[in-house]
Amino acid sequence: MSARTNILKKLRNIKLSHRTEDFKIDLKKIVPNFKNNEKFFRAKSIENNCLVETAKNIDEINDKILNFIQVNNYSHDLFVWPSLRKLNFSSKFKINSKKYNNEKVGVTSCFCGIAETGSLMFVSSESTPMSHSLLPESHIAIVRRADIVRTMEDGFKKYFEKESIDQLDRQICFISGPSRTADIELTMVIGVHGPKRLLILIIDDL
Amino acid sequence: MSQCLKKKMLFNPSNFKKNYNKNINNPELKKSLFRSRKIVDSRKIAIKSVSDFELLRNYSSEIKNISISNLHQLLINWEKNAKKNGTIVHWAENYEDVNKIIYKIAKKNKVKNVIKSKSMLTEESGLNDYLIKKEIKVTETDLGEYIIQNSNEPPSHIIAPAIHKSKEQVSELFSRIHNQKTTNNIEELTQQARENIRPHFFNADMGITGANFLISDSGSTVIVTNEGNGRMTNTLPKVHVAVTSIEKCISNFEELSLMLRVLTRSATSQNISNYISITTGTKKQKDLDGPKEFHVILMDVGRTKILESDTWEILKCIRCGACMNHCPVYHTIGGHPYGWVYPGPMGSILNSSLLGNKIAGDLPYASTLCNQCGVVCPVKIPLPELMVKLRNRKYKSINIFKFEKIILTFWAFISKNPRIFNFFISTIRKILKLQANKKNYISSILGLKFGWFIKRFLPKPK
Repeated sequence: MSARTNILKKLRNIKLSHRTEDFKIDLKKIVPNFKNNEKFFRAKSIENNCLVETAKNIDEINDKILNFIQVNNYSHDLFVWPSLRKLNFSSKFKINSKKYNNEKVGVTSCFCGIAETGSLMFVSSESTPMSHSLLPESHIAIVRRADIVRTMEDGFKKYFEKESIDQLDRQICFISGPSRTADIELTMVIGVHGPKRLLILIIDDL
Repeated sequence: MSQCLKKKMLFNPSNFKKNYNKNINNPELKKSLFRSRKIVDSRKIAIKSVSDFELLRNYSSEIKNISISNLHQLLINWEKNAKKNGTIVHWAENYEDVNKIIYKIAKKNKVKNVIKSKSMLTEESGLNDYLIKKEIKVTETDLGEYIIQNSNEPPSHIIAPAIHKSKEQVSELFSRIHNQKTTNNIEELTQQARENIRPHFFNADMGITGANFLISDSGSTVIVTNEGNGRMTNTLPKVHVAVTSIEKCISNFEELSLMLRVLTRSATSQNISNYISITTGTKKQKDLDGPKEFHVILMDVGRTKILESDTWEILKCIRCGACMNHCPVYHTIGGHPYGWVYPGPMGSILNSSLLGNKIAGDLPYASTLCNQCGVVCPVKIPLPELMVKLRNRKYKSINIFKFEKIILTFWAFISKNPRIFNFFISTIRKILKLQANKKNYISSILGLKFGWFIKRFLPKPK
């Protein structure tokens, strides 16, 4: 008999019943009571060691990126999501979208922001790959103000409005700040394998 | 049992007494363990960021109760959905099978370099040693795991595997393996690891991760990490293998969102971990990144046996490490004396449930039953209660002529007879009174220093 059959047979025969009949989750009693999603998102992102700024249009986005590059002494090479190629990026940038070529800065948008924890939700696809938010030393994420939802539950709800649970995208990822570790003497250090910096740009619309 | 056990006799739970005595007298370790107490304070702050943490504990405990009661249905459903998305599902009943399955996948794909993000289950099966013997290079990428892999030691904590090491020790190790100058700057050490591990991510042809949760409704696996190595491991290599055990399955995304709230606060005192990756199947046709093959190994290895027993609640464990962070015994002896993959209160229970009384029967005694672990456990496992059950199990199984059993049987006998009990106690009291010194303390019996008296005094009875 195969391992599968054995294990499932054993599981079927075990009679555990720890089911409570009227078990219902009341999220309101768990999630802190905040009114303004954007304000809370901002505060929590900063707690997660992100830089948060706002931009009104593509020109301001260009300015913020240029400024960020200057401050950190990076070159003008950007690793940009294919989905953002339609934007009018400044001609000063050298933009690559396909295969990672050691660019220091990755630019992405995101599926939505989660106010409760200051997280960004990403969904992988042809035009929104995972490498851009992972491999470069710094990550710039653009989030639409209207896309900031309250909780992770709301993020999933938003996702399943369009997608069927039968055929999910390869990866859904929540990112909350630059990578970090505390594996040596429990001392927190920012920047391990993932990005060392995460700049979030909150915008009105793209 | 596993090869890892045979190889490292030192890290054998049956040597528990010898090993903890060695650790108690290690001043360097004491310093490292003392440092780890700050997790207690940071957790206290972290749990305040939800309105009602106790209610959250109730919810997550209930979610685990329900999912463990319905594992059969949840797993069948999970498998169906996972396959729909191109995941290849394997089932394994023992460690040999786990290792063999992984080796077979590696061989088929001509794998030479494997990168791993933290997986306690592959520590259980002794996978690294197995693959290295087959001439496959394995690199642990979690900073803590990287440190202990290169020091040839097992982890001493499930969340911070190298918690027993000082920065000086890490510096010495890194200067040796990276050929760089020693430095006591922790940021520089971390940077060194980043630079030295990075090429491995790009060269690897296979990535192995664990899974914190399985989601039945969608056939997904979930990993929770901070360093980003987990994401590298499940995105860059052409083959990804996730090793997980059957009790990790929950129903849906609402349950996941809730469990994450309780896990990250209990484990690392964060409102959320930096990276939560929910992976469902392989790279889609036009995707730019992601593995072409995605395998998930569902391990039983003793889990169904525990489910049938009176210690089934240990399977609710979500591996946050809060119980060991709050355990006075763990703080005194460290993680290695527990002798196997899992230390602390959950380790005492899981190790001895999985390995049996003969090998790990001493571990449930590594507790004062103070219940600090029970109070902080995010899924409300009654850890002290389970330890008492295991002590009972051991007592019943040992030979009637063993000293321990004779003493306990004798004690049970006099406790049940008040007259004999009073006589016995008053005699003992008289003897003790005679042993007291001028300061009214007893520091030895009949001039002999043993057991308790090596480090402590008894006050003179009144």
